[in-house]
Amino acid sequence: MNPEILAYTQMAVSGALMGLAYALVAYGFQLTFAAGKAVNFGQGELVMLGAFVGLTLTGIGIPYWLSIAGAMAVGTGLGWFVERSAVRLALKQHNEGWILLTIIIGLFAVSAAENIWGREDKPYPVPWQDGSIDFYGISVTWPEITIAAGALGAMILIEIAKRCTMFGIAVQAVSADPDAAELCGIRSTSATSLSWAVSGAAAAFAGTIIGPVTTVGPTMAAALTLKAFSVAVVAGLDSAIGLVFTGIFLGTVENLSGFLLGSGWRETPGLILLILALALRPQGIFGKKIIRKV
Amino acid sequence: MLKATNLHAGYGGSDVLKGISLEVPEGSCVALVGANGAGKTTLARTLSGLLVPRKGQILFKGKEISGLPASRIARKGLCLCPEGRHVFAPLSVEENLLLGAFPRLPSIGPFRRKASADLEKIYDMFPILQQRRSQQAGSLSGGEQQMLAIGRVLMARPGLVILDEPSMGLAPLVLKEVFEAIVTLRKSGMTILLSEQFARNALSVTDSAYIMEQGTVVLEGPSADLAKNPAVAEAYLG
Amino acid sequence: MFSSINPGVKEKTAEHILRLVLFLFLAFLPSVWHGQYALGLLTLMAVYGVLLIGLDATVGYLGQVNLAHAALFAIGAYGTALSIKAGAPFPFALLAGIITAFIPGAALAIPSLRLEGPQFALSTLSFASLTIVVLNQCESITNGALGLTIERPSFFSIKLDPTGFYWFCLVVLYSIWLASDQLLKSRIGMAIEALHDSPTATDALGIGSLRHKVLAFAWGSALAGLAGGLHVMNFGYLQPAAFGYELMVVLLLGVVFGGRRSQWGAFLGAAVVTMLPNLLSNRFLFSALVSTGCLLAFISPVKTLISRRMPSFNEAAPACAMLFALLLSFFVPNIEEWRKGIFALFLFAAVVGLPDGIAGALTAAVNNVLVFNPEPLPEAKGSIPSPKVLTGYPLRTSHLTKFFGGVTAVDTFSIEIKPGEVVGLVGPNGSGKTTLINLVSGLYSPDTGSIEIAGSHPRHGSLMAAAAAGASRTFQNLQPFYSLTALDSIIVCQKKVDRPAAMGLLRTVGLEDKARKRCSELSFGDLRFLEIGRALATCPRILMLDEPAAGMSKPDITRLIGLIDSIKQTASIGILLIEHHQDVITELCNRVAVMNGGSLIALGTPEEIRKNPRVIEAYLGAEDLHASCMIKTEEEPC
Repeated sequence: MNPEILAYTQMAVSGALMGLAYALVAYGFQLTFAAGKAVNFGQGELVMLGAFVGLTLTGIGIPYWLSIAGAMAVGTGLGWFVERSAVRLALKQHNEGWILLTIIIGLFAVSAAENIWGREDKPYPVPWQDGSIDFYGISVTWPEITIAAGALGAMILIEIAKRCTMFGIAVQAVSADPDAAELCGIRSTSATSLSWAVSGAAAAFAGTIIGPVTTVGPTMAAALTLKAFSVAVVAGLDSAIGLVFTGIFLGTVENLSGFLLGSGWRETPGLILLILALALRPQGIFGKKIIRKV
Repeated sequence: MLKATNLHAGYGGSDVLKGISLEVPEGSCVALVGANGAGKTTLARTLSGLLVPRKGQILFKGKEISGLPASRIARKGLCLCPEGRHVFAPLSVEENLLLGAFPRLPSIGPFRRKASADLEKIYDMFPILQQRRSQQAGSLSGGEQQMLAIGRVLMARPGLVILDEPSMGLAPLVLKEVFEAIVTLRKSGMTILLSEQFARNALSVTDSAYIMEQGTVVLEGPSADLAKNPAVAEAYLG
Repeated sequence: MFSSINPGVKEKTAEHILRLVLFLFLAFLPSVWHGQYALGLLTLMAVYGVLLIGLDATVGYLGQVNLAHAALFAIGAYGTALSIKAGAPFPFALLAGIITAFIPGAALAIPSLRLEGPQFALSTLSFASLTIVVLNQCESITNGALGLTIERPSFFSIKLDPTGFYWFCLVVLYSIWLASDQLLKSRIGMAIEALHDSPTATDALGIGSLRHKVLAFAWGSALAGLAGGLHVMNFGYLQPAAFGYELMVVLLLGVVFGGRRSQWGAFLGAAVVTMLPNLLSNRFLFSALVSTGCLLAFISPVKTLISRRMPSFNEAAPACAMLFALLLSFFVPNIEEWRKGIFALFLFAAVVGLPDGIAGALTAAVNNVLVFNPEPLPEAKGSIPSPKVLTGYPLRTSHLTKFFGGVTAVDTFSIEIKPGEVVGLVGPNGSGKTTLINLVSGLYSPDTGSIEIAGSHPRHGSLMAAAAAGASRTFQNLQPFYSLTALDSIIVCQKKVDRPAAMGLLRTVGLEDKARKRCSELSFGDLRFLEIGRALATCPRILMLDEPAAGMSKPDITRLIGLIDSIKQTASIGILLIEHHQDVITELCNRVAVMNGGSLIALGTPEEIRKNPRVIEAYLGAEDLHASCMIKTEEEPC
């Protein structure tokens, strides 16, 4: 193959694989949005904390797989905490205070991380051998494969749980009509908490699979939040398949523009896409329109 | 079975219910009749726990339930089929029905099998729901949604059902079907509190009735007597 | 208990005096608090004051979380810096800053202000990130991450020394404060408050939520640009990294902590955010401050505990946050490292515990002790306004149909209403009456059919277009402008401000003596009358009243009938009246339309309707159904 095209394809493929990680973080937004029309503006911070916790656990000699479980446990707790402390009250009062509160909790998380783990980016060791697999000259590293498999696997697993367990159906019912769900004996507050906890676990898991590819540091949070938002908003907040496509697309475009325009510009396509999507189709490409009531 | 005394409840600053007392004996079918805005729906919401009363007492099977969250009250067997149907629009008909039985189904595992006997019963009662079992509830017509809502509440095997305006927005033909279902239920021995704006229909299928006006009970007695009472027709047609 | 004191002045006058005293104090402060550093801080505080007044326009008055303000501040600063580099004199350089921030601000506002809540926050957040990327990358213009250095130009051949520039900033802050105050007390400001309370009503009454949102955002952006210009002249050096996310959070801290919807709040917030970083460097002072805050935060939960109740989340959470901050201040070796975390804790406590900020708490305290003389009310003039030219039918619909999923809410509905006619719309619950009004007033777009309002065909599904054509309505579920007074609620709906006429209208609906009361203090019945007054203030051709008598007492209903009757007599407009009270319908309506299951089943005079068997059937239930059920129950009694 033409070496130039090969280089582009290589960039596109790694971008697409990374895009799946964005889709997973964005999926966390979908979960909480469905449960109570709120999202965590500190989701990126949860990813970062998940990565740091996993890193610390591997540092004290715990195997990689167990460290993922540990990080997810912490993520579950944090997701629950954010809902309980910031979102529940403000949503009851019908004001935008919850946006501020999730931003604030995220800010505290960054500050804490800076002081506990330091400001520098750290590598995340993985148990796999170095090297990569070649497909027709395009090489894919093992951590990249973990991202793709992990992100897709986690999303499929949660989707199955949503559709095929009574728990999942109940959570969907709460998102469709909380009062009617209460009348069926479902505690809507618990269902909302559960969604936030799962969303937190997904974010922490994302941290442990992104970490080996990027490195881990407090600055990863803000950038990830924005990218995941771009994916979630462009795709719409109610379609999981949409997230996967948008994530892959965004990851690819981002890598290619970084390659073509210089690394400083790699964020821009996502941001422009986000503003355009919000302006032209606020419900997202794959989303449904909302009806106002009086 | 259900006994409420001196209930006051409302939204914001004003009370919609101004001291309501009523009683639903076990196995009976009681109507709650009144024009729009009389407070029937507010009363139904208060009894089911969606709205917390400001004053008064609600006893269900002899135990105080006012102030409990709606989900707890539903688990005790006092189930409301809400006004305006409120089916879960994005979920399938069968999922809607299954949700009605949520408290007694296993969260993970073979919940469909455990509920299959109840599902059969509902499908016998409303065959149209079986035809549409995998369709989205939001795509059903108004009458079908009403049947689904009734079916969902029956899935809970309730001790007492409050049916709030099951006739709302339905065409006369469909209405007939819904009322026939209520008659069937009544025959099966279910305790029912039926809140209705169509006085004649409601009075014809119930044992006793309360007539509401402006948040208070203005008349009460056996349905057959009230049906003959000219004051009732007056309250409607002015 | 305190007895209230009347200082014998109007609240506005007292505020003016207090503000003047404050600025005189600030102007003389440098002669007591010496030094280059102190002067720099004071100037920064004045600059932040301008910046936060701008931010308050969106975060406070619009109630939307705006995360682009720091970026607009940066754009303004770069605009001024680059024009100074190009040799522009002082005033032009500042103007350049304002314009460079205003243009992207307005451009961003138009698409993003269609959005609400999280989506708005997101679009502003992405704009902010985009700005920083561009400032960093366009090195040929902005010098990238290295930054720009500039020299402050002379002010009309006067070389301003730091003290002189500080005074200049104070003058700017003072004028912006007054201007902002004026703007927000004008009809525009009322409209902004109104749309914060109910965007739907704002559009349905033709006030226009979008244009006022854009206006507030553009005004805020211009102020950000102005502040940016002043900032670069004060500081002399610019770097993109300084305007990132962290600054944005600090600015939000200022507005929320100081108090939203208040210029005093913005100023207090500016003072806090400029002084706070300096407090962090003085350990003792900081500990003292946090301890005080902690004590204050503990007052209300402890009170609740003493009365043997569990403190609510709003009471407990600020106390926990402050306690945490106190622990940090004792145990952390270097507080400045934890700056962001401490900001976060303060903000958390403020957002949860002090929703109205310091300014709100102080105002409440002052109003407890002092009673100011009220503003004079305008003399009432006129009663019901009526449109000048009448062409065609006020309302004519043909074959209107609307589906919701599988439900046909309105089914091929056709009706025409003549001028001066009251048409009653009745029918059982859920028969599609309110949906019909929603279609005509433009809240919903019909699936088929056409709507003609006073001879024109407004665009379907647009509240504003329907309002412009002459449609006006009330709401079954009240949509009051809670933060406005009764009088202002009327004024904001007028096409041209006419205070005496507004007062006249208020007299007509019987609320003359409650003109100064906020809608949040009015009773349910009063709000129903006020909604009618609001709808009339727009000079409608077709007035749609959605259950005006619902929840009203008997005497109020009598008053309502009198009011609608006098509208019918004086203004030759069409009225569509949804009502369940039979006496209201009988007394007022020329014709009655009966809906059932979305379609029109009968249309005629009230007398005809009462005798119509289909109507009786619709209301009382079918006779044959009645019979069939009875037979069944008699056959098998239970």
